[in-house]
Amino acid sequence: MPPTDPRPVSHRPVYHRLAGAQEKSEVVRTGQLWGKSPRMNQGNAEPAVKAYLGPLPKGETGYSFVTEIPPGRERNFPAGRGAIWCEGDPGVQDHPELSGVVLIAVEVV
Amino acid sequence: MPEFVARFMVKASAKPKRRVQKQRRISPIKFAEAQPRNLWPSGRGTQIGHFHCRFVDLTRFLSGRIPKGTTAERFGRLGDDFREIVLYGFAGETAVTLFTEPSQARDVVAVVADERADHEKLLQALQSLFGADFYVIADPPETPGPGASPP
Repeated sequence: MPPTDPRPVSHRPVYHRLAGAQEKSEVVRTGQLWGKSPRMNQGNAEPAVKAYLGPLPKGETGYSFVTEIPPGRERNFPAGRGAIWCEGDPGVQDHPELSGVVLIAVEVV
Repeated sequence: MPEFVARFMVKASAKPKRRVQKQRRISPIKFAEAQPRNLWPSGRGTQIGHFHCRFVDLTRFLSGRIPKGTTAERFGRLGDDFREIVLYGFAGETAVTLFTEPSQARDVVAVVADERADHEKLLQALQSLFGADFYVIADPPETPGPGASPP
């Protein structure tokens, strides 16, 4: 069983992605956030979902979300501190059709 | 009159040569097609620092300043949402990459190295290469998140 966050949605940590309207509408529609191996790792590392910590800063384009799946690691990305959910971590699923793609269930807030 | 025409021809033919030489000075780091696999000896790279600069300025800066024993390649072309310079053999390490993703952070270049490399030594070597042109900021290391499995 994945270690789900038992807190209600309003009390869970918020993460954000800097992304365009197309990605946002897809995540809202499916309730899933996908990820591949980070480009800065030249595709060598395991596939992972990546997001920045905290809500979307004012003036930025993207979306905020919460998830029941706590991230396995936290690290720095070009725009700040972020969280990653790696393949094999509890609650992180392999995409049923696309190889090298993982996903977690999220709720856009 | 015939003498004047001859002189004009000589002058015109010399111009393109100078332009080609100037372009070569600006972009000495060659593009490579596919990002290298197995770049990191430990199998995993991580962002160890960052600095603020336009990628085009970084490319210009590195022109003719690549240290002895280091080779460089560029990745990311027009239409890609990333730009990257990989320095192979820099500071005795297999590789260090200078990576930027304009859609995420404009004019921020991340320094990415092998997870098990000597990060402090690498950042110091990079800062001494950059001098006063770019200021390298060390990033905090990767940490387990709340969902990390217990060791």
